[in-house]
Amino acid sequence: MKRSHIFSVVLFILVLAAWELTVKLRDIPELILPKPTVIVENLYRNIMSGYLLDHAKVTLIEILGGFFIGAVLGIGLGFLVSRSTFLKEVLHPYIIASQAMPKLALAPLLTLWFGYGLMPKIVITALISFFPLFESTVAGLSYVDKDKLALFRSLRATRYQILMKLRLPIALPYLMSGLRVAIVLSVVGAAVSEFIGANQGLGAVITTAMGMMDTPLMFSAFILLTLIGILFYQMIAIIESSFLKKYYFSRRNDD
Amino acid sequence: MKPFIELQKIGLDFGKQTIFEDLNLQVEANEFISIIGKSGTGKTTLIRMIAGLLAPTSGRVLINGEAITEPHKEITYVFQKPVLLEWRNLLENVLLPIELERKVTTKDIDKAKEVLKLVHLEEDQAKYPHECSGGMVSRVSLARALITNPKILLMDEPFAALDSITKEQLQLELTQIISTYHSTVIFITHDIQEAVFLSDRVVLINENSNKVNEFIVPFPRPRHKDLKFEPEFQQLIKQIYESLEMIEG
Repeated sequence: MKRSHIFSVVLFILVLAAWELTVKLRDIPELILPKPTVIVENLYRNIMSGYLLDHAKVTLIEILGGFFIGAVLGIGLGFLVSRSTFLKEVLHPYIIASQAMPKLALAPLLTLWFGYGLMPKIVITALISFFPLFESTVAGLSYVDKDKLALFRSLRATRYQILMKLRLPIALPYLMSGLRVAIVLSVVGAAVSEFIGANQGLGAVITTAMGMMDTPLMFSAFILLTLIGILFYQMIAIIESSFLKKYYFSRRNDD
Repeated sequence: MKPFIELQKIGLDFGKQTIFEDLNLQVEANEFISIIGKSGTGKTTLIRMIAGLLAPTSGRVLINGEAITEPHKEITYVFQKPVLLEWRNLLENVLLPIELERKVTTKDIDKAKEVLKLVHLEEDQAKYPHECSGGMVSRVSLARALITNPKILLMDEPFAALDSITKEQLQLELTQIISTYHSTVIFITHDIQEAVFLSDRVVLINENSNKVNEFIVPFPRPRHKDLKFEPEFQQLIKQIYESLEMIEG
């Protein structure tokens, strides 16, 4: 274990200890800020009873469903748009507008259209993960290394070969960073869209807990959501470092 | 007999700017010619036209009597900056030209190893470009050029970015390789000594490029590095240098 890792863990423990002590000494009510030990106990109990896990399952379906749809559409459309300068120019203002658009603010409207089930949450999550992926796909595939392109042309490569053997490998790191951003945003999207109108999912647990003034439960759901985000983020990072490492190599022209 | 490569009345304009005007050049099969000119004289532009990457405004480039309009199978272009794909190891980089043409066979892999051996990189085939020195990268780009057995090698200042020791080493290797491969080479450089050492003929181009001075290099092959210290060698360099001074005027 690296020194920096040890310090990270120590810092975490210190913050928790300070939290616990502050709450205890100043006698802060549990409704405002529960002690870490109370939260951990609550988390453990609700996981063991299966209550949180059932809700987590629903949220997971929303995250993965939305992320998958958003990724397929984002990467697919990004692919098409990057192939045509004309299309890129036509769509440019819409892309800017759609990025500025607060996608989460659409949640009430989508609930109105699709009801209280999984559908509106998956749509929101898909919308949210679509844009970073669309953008990174277009950016990655539009990047032209003139020297490499000249090399491929001099070797009489076809357009398809240039795409598959040159543009795609160059775009991969962009794509993966898009995926990382998208998966984290998906978790946010699924949770927040559950705030609007849902009786299932970790977001719904948070709003219900708020109504019941059960602050420890809010923290428990929150922690679980964070863990889900970290888990997915790490999964993508592991895929990158174990299969795609070579696409991150670069030769600096420093000699 | 028809020349192997022939530039007929090449003219090229970029907008209002005229780069070439009525340029003629003939290269015989298996000949090694160097083109010398100051920077900005359009040497790279010239070689790009021969490579079929750029169309002249007027005139034609003929290979074996056939006009070039696009990159030609028999021609391999070695770029000024050695361009390798960072996500492929050296062996995979060398195999790229084959891969773009057809499916790679075990025979091709053997051949790739063979050309890597020729440039003294047989031990390094599994390395990636970021693990290599400038000299190694230049060698790989040469190996990649050789794997297709090109009849014509166009080399655009391939050693310009290297330190002088690596450069001399690679010049020697290049003369040996060329004699095994029987390629016709057009080599661009601004280094007169390099041009004389490598070539059968040295061609000077000036800013207007409508006048071409030529020098025949009479030294027999194979050439050894001691040649560089011979008085005749030095004499020829001086002549070319003076001629270059004159056209720069």
